[in-house]
Amino acid sequence: METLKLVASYLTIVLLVPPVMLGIINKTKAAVAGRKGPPVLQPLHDTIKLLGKGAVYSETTTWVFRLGPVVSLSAAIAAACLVPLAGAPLVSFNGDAILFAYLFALGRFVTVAAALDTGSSFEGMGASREVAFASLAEPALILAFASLAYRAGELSLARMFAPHGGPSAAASTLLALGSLFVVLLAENSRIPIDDPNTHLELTMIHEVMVLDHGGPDLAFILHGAGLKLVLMTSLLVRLILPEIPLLGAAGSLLIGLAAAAAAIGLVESSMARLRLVRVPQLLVAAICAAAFGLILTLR
Amino acid sequence: MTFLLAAVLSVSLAAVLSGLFSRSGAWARAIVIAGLGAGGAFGGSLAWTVLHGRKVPELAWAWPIPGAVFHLGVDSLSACFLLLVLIVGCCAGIYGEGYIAASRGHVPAVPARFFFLVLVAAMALLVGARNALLFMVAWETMALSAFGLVSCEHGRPEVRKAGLLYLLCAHVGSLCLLGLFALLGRNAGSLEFAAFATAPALPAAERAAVFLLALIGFGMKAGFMPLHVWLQEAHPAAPSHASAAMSGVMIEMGIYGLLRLLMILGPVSKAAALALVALGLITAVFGIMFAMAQRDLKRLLAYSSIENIGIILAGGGLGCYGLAVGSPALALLGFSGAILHTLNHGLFKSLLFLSAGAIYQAVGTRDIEAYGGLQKRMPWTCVLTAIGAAAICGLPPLNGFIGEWLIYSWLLRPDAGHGMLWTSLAAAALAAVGAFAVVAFTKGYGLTCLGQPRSEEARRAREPAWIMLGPMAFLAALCVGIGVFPGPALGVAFAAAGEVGRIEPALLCAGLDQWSRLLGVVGLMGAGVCALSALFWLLRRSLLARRRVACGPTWGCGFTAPTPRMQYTGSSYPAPLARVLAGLLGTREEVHPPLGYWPAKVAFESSTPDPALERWLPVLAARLVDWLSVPRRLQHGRLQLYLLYVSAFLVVILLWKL
Repeated sequence: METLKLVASYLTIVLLVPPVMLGIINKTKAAVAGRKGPPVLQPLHDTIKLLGKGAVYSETTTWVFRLGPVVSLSAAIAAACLVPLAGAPLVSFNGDAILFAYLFALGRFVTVAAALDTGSSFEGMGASREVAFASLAEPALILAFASLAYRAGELSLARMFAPHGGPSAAASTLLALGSLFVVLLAENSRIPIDDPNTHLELTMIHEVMVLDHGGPDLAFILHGAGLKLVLMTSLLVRLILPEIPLLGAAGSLLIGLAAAAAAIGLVESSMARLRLVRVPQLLVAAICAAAFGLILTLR
Repeated sequence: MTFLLAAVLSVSLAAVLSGLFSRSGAWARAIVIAGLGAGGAFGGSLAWTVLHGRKVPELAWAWPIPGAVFHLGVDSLSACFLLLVLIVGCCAGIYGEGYIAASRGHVPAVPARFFFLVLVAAMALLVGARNALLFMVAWETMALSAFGLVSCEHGRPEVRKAGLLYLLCAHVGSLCLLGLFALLGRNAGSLEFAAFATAPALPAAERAAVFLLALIGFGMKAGFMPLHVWLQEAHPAAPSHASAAMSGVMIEMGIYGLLRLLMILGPVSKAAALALVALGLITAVFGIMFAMAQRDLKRLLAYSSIENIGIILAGGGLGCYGLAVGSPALALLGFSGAILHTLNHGLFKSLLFLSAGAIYQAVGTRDIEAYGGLQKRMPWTCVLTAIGAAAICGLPPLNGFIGEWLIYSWLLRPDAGHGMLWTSLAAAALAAVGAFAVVAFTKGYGLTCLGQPRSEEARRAREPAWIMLGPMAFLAALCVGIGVFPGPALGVAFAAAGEVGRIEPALLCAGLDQWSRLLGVVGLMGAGVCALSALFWLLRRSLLARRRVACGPTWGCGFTAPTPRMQYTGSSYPAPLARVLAGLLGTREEVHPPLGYWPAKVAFESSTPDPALERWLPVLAARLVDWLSVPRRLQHGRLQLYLLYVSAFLVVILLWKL
């Protein structure tokens, strides 16, 4: 019974939270810009609308193009099983943090393959940038994981990202948090690394890779990307937010996610996208921050 | 043990017979397949027996050569590598028949068959050798048959150059091994491996020399940075089925040698173990960085072999570290990670070389810039390439992830009480290697198989024969199978790792239990991803079934005349990362920008030469020539003076004896 409840709450969170979180980000950005903005549930409506649409496929593409969205969404859902979303994770074992990182790598591989399948120079460009920046984000992620694993005494996300009772002032946690936040922005194509709202400028990364997708494929991609954002954010939220009494683990996580969405919205409204040549510098800074955090943890 | 002998003999017999019956292609083909099949059956059943814990009696025959005994034995470590030799040997051999037939005389059939079979037989003999002299004989046979394979197509100058370079490197390595065995043999008074193990400990200086000689001798074969100079030249030069065997198994014989020596001589010091880990990670990072920058598909694969050897060496070093600090559990984890990755690398790398061969044959060039859009023309080859590429990137539902996961688990163990800082930095390096591998192999697979054809030849490419596809499909199935059900492969790796670290059976069983349970979950998650994907695929199909699905040109962002030449190329694809790593890669760029009012000619050229081969080796060679110029004055070509030397020497000896 307990398991059934867990699975049910998991399904609800995985299906509903990603679009809502994207909605909150957009609403915040609109509010800062002095606009009313689309309703919070707009991304959900968009996804449902896309699921009901037909599709146009390029003659160049093959089944690889169609497989990309499907596998990347599946990998994100598998990764969700490892994250303690509803109090406890569905699957947890010593070493699942590595699996978590590599499931996203799988998603990236198939998305990049799908982008290259179109033979378009734009999507090739997006793919090329995506893999380049991921190469720098990955070490930062692993280093941050290492310092958290050392503190928790185990390499599992549930233990590493257990709430630590109040905003932990320890400098090491802050450094790990900082580098994970940069990784989050980079991996989820947010400003200042990437702009999720442009398609046709020559400076974006993730969005240009999915230029040719439409209909259910695009719905899968959008949902998968939102889920990825939710997963990485919820890890950070769990690290700093103590469990709020009365709300329970899942409830406080949702509150934290909403707050984080607003924070991301503020970041995106208050700064411009970095020049592409600066992005590696930011990511290398994240690597350094994670390494310093690790040194402080081990001190 | 007679089974090992039977396997070696049947493969070598097939080698000789295939040469004799070369007139009739069908006969030769039947002989090769029968020989490999018989060898596989004999060797496979032997490995199966040994890996199930049964002892097989050793075989020792007197050999009329001083110090030598024809001594064969198979333990779990040998069985593990024997399995790899036979699986890859059989798959590549059968594929090779199709490859030779389809090459229309491009690949000379007689040497390609003969040397390949000799190579397989020599490697099977090598893993069973229990005497240093027998080991060296098998080692040299392996090296020479590989030379024969590398210079198969000796009509082309670059092939001759690669062959010569390989021969030189192989012999420098062999010389080091001779020195190594001479040192050990003098100490033990015998050339038997068993005698080395029971001999009194070597003095510190000699021990260091042994370590260094082993590292150079075996490292030359395995391709550790910067001893890899021959590798990226020789592997592309050989026919593809031979490159598969060389890259998938032969270089791993270097790893086998190191592990065997470690097993004989016992644990190394902590510093030496750390040096191994560092060397492994440097090899891995540099290997994959250069892989990323290549535009020759087989060269890309060869560099990625260097990367994988680096990962394996790092895992082995971690195992050594575990032994040095007296923690058998850590040692077991490190060694099993290394051995599992060795097995996995053998499978996916040979798969990738075989598919690269099929693509090379279909398009007629190894240049990635001439490929593209092969997915539609060679669907099966491309599916198998995709599986191999994903496996080599270490992605979850496939086997590459399993070995890397074990090594990560070692590195990020907070409870182990070792320098967590260094191991975490090593883990970060490994993560970077994994991410670079995604760059290299989305390039190798994506630009080759996907998109639009970049040349007329690519447009006309055709699927190869089933005899080539079958072995590739078998290897791909193994990659998927090990990824989803890691249990059996883990058992094999643990048995061999226990042998290397001399770990007692109770601990071995407990460790195997623990890790196979964890990896079982990992495999299950991988299977879950596959199942979910299938589910979403069906969902997508049912959603689209009632809707309009149209076909059109790729969206060109308003540009209406896109051409295949506008696609990202092999040089532009890794460019963002290559710019970041420019200081390390040393990519040379020659840019002729558009000039004048009506620019007519624009050119851009970039190349990434190997620093060890192009920059360091010439300097070293020049230095060496300088140093040797003094003794070289003695050699000037004047016959009279040479005769004078001889008579002077004789007089000196005569006086000395008086």
